[in-house]
Amino acid sequence: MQMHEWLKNNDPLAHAEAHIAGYPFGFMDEGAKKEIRRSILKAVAIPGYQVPYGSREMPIARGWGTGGLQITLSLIKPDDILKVIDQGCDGSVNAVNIKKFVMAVTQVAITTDTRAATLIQTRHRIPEERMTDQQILVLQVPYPEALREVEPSEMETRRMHAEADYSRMWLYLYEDIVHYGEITISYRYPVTVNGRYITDPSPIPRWDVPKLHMADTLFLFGAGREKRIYAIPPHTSVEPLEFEDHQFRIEDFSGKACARCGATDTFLDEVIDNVGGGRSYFCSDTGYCDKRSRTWNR
Amino acid sequence: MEPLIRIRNLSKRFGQGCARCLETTGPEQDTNLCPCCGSVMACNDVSLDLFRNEALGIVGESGSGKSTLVRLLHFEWEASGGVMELHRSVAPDCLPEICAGDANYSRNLLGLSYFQKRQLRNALMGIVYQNPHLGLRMQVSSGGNIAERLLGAGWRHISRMRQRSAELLERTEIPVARMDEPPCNFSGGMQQRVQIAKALSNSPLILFLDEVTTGLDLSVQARVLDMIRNLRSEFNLSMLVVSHDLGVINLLCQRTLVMKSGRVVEAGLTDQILQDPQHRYTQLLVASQL
Repeated sequence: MQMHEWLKNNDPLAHAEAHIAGYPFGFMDEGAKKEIRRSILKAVAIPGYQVPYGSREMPIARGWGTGGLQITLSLIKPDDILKVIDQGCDGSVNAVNIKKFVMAVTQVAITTDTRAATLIQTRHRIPEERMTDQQILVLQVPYPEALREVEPSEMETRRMHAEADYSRMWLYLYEDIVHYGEITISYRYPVTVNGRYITDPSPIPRWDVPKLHMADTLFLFGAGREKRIYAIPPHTSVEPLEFEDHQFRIEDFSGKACARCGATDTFLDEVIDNVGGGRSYFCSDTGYCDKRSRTWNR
Repeated sequence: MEPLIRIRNLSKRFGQGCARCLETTGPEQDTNLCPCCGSVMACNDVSLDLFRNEALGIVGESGSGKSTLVRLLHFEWEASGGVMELHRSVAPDCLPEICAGDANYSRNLLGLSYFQKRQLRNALMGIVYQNPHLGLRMQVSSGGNIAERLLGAGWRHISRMRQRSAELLERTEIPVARMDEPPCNFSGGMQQRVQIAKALSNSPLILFLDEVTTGLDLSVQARVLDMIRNLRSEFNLSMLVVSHDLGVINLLCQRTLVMKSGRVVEAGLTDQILQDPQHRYTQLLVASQL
């Protein structure tokens, strides 16, 4: 059965509370939304710069997408169509919980189709289908500081950002290449945004990093626990850190195809059969896989 | 010949300071601690010229302000006052804005932004500390330590950086085969030589040596000093050599400043200072050490 059918039939969302009494539209009060929208504006004005903001208490625990959720709630309008994904999947726990909650406090329509959505909140993936300038992608971020790997002190990383003193980040990559022959960062690959700030693109796989470059879409990053918002505006250059003789490269899925829709041009998850031990591959983006398999199986 | 760097009235005060700080500290009072407000005048009214391809020595007892002076000139600490100017001919291309009009000297470098100071440091300066822990990342490979400065100066080619590191390590007598080992595996003398290689990586014009041989045994000291002397003539370096050891100063430097309690008490040719010291403190120093 396909995800969209499953969601239609035994959809927990269909019976969600019609409205939670006593809360304004979008759960947060207007003052809070205003502050977050102001922080978003500042973040858009300085691409890649982490804007501090007052992260509110949400009815889910910090570290489970509260940063993304607050951005979503501060931007959402009654006529928006929302899609929420968790590592590409529309039906996993984190995505369903957030969907249910946003529905209960806003009554907006929900979709699993990337093209149909106006607002997409995501955890650790960017949808396979290229998004348009009418859409916004909100990414949940666990660790907004790309330099944290090399410098534990917040004061020091802020100074490094202010002075564009990034030699230690580069040194980290140099050491990686010296020890292992290549850069071993598989997700959270650091990027330079607009030629200025080194930014954490959230734990998206390397596969998704090129999608940030000169995109049509606005990307907003929210870290609720760390209380930071940052943004990559449309048509902004996003360059992964690379050396002239060690170029950035994405994951290699050559020779593999999705067992469900046959796609060879998507980011694939490896699934191991517990009984037989066989390996098969499936699209990580379930919405796109559904869409493809409908036409493929026809 | 005009000096490469002109330094005038450089001061560094730790503490809030008061009106009586200047008169209550200095060599005559034999202290740099102001009895009125408790501030420390670590450097007071220091003026000096550094010429191209010259080694200038700074001697003095511990606490006389030698290392403070180096840290001020290397932009690690902010000076409380004073002027530091760079000769126009060596101003780096990345900072055209520091030389106004057609004056022979740049504007006061101490007033630049942190970003400009770091660019200037990456382009012109190298430093070797007494303690290798200050100048090196002990857990990062020696080649990486050298590459860090190159990365800061915008190098983005791994094999070229490794080639440069290998050259420098060879010059400083570290076996190139141990390039990817971290300095914490090395002996003290080797660590000091890695530090020198790191300081030389960006082909600096000015090299600061802060008590480089203190803590090394005598035979290693001799080899390190010998190497520094060769490197100076080879790379055409201007050096500021800080030491409390008059032997080191005698071996490396043509000119010498003597510091006491944050002030310069005597300046001149090294031979002259050692043969015919004028100031009471210098006489004591020479008598006790030679």
